[in-house]
Amino acid sequence: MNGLLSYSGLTTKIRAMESHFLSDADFRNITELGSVLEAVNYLKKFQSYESVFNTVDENELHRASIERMLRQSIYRDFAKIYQFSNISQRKFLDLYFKRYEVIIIKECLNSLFDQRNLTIDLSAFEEFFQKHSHLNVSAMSSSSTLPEFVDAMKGTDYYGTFSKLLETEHPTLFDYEMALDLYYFRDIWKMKDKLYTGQDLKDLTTAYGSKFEMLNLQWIYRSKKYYHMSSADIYALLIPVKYRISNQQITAMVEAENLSTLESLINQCFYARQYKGFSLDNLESMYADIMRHILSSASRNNPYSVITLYSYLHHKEHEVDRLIIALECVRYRIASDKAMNYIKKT
Amino acid sequence: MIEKMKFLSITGPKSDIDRVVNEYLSKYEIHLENALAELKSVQDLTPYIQINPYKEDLKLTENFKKLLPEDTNATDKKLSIEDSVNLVRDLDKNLNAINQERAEYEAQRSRYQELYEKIEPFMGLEYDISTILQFKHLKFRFGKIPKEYYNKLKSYIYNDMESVFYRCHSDDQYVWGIYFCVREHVSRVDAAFASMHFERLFLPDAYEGTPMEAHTKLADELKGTNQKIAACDKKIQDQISDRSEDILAAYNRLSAQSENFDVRKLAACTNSKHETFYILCGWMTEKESSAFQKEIADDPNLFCFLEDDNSTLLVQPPTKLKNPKIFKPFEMFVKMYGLPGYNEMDPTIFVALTYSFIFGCMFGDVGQGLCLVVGGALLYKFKNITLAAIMSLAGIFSTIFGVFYGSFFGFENVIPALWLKPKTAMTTLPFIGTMNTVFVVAIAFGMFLILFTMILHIINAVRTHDVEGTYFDQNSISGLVFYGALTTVVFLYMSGHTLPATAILVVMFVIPLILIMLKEPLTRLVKGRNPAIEGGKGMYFMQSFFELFEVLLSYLSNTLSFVRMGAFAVSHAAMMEVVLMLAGAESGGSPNWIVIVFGNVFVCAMEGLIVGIQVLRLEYYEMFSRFYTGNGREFKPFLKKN
Repeated sequence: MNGLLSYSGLTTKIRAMESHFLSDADFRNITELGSVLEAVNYLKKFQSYESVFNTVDENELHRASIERMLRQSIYRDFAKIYQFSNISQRKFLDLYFKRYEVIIIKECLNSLFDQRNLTIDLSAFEEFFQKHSHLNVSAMSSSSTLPEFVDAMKGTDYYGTFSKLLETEHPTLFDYEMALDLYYFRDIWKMKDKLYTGQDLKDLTTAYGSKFEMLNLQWIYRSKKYYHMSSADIYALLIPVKYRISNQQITAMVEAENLSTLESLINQCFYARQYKGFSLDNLESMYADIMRHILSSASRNNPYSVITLYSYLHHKEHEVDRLIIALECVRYRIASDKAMNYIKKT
Repeated sequence: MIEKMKFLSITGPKSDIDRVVNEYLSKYEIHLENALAELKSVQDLTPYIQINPYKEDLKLTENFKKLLPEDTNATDKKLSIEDSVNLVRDLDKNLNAINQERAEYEAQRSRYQELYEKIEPFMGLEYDISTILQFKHLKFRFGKIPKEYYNKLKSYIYNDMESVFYRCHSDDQYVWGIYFCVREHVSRVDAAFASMHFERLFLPDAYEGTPMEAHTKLADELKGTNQKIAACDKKIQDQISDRSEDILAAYNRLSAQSENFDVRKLAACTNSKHETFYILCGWMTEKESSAFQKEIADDPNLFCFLEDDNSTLLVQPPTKLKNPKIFKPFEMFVKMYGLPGYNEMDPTIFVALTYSFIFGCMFGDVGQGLCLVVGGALLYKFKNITLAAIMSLAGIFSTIFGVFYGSFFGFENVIPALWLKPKTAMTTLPFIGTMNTVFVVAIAFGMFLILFTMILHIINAVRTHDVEGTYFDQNSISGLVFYGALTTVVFLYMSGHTLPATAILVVMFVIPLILIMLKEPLTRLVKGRNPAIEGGKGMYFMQSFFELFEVLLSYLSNTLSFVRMGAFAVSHAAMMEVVLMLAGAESGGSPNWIVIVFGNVFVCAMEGLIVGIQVLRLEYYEMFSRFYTGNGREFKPFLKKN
């Protein structure tokens, strides 16, 4: 009942916002268009993208700028929901918000490690970040060396992680991003226990636990297939989460001698038994499917709870990811059927 | 009053400079200027550069002085410069041995400290540490591992590893420990641990027993070493405090000597092949300079030139105030605003008189006034607080006005009022109505004070040949005529006299105002500059019209500002009435004396503070701003007279 009272308004709002999601037919229509410009014009018909693309100069449809605008639409939705939430709901949103901080920090790191010395333009997000985060976006984007960058993060939760890395010898971009990701995942896994109890906690544990373990599976598969890493290195980079897959299973997978052993081991795990059609080739699309399934069913079963928030934000981001793929397909004139395949896989 | 200054240049053979400084400049106060800057027009002058030979010894002495106990008293003992230098050097030699010993102990301490800190995380290991370090066939690695990786290590790898990890200690970030493995596996095990971000730490083979034992032992050693260092410190301290008087005397001598030596920084040297001369130049008061000249008349190695006309010099002479002793404390207020320029009037006496007078009339109470007189005088005598002296002088006027008002510690009927009771005495004026007499008197007094400061402004302006300040601006003759006429008319009207003819009024009011309004072009006209009005004429008239408006407003507000004199006189009486009421004295019964005393203390402190500030505000804002600029520089003698 508590949930019903405090979430009724927010859930209604989210339901209304969900109605603006693009359908499969919409995606198909986009992939059938002849140019990016047409696709953008098509997107302008949708309420959720109209405002971000409205002010666009049509010559400015560079890939990076389109992606930035699409991201802007995520931030707008987030801000809308944030505006509408009460204090306890905002606690989850604050926790979730770190995801956006991580994205922007990674963008800065990328340009820092990039030899071309490109300065990135974060001005579009500055207002949003000023409102929600302690990150000093302008100082971050203007710093030209790593120590300077780490210094710009002083006072935020990320400073500890980064300053520890600065002390080690020759940290690479990979080290930084990995440390950042691991910090973010650990933080969520820890914070959810502190913030929630009962059904909320159960739903969040299912959602995040499955997410992290699926990511771990993907990671083991990739590091074995492409990077041929030693098992100790693989362990070091796994997200420290134990939900449905036991330590023995993980060890067995990491130590697996070849890909077919790995595939049979993965097929024995909880997720493969629960969801049909698992194979090494479709781990990524399975990940997307499973997340969608878990989140939609949880938010349908408990509509007046925090999981609805998570579900909406996840789906919104997923939609943007798929839109980016779709626009790329349009740009490179890939046939509609093939493009739809790529979109479905994402 | 401002002392008259003379500019003089002293010269003599280069090597003679120290004698001159020691012999004469300690007797006569002189404000030295940088000779090179003053004598810019003279060719071939070089700075006098010589390294200060006392610097090293002075630094040593300073260090000794710092080691002296804090309560060491100043000394009157005199030492010659040679004795001082010898003393300091001997002391330094004696202390050198101890210092060396101390440095050794300190090195030892830092070594122990390092060992101590290194072993600390491994205290959980219950095994002889040097035995481990001697292992031949078993490889071992001391180190730490981040906590999150330690958990991964435990849950995934450790069970299948050919290695033993011994966990010694952990905090919220790291786990410390040792892992062992056999030689054949070492590279694989090392790689696995490296993946887990294991950081190796190297322990030197300098420990005895288990880490726990080594730790306690090191703690003891550290304590012992600290004691030894303290013993050294004690020895040094003893040596120094035995001779504390000598050290202080040597310090005084050396610092004076080094300061005297630094006179070279302000000197210039002539540049010739045969004999070089130094030149020093600076300011002396007129009186001292003639005495100085008389004394050096017989000195063959010293020549002094006196400048007769100060106006040819580049810099303004420094200001040295000279006032009768009783007015001296008020120099503080003047200095707070800014020292008067050399050609300006010193307002100290004016401040002293007006400040005390106004304070007295705002705070008129015989009893409290006498308290201020006595308390202020005592504080000034024993604690040397300048403000206390000012309070004491102001207290005299408080007492006098207390007699006028008939107020004694708030009791209004103990002594008769010689003049009036501020709270009850009323005057009826035409047009305004009935109001307290003190208010009327305060405003009238304020008007005269403003007129007086205008006259001071005119005098200053005449002295500096400032045409605008003499004739045209709001405190000049025009302002004086306008404000004076206004004052007269108000007085005539209030006292019921008939007003003068309109024609006269027009002449007295309108013409000065027009002059004030046109002050800038008029000044330019008088000085013969063209054009009279810079920029657009319309704009100029627009601007000066509004400025005139502001001038008129400021006359009004400055005049009304003096009402506060009356207001505080009334409020003092009212506040004391409240105190008496609380004490139950107003109905005639026997009052509560405790309340009376505390009430008096409270009112005296609070009103004293507020009135003191308000009067200062009147001084600065209503009076100083009219006639005083305060842009002088202070006379700073190179050496203070002994």
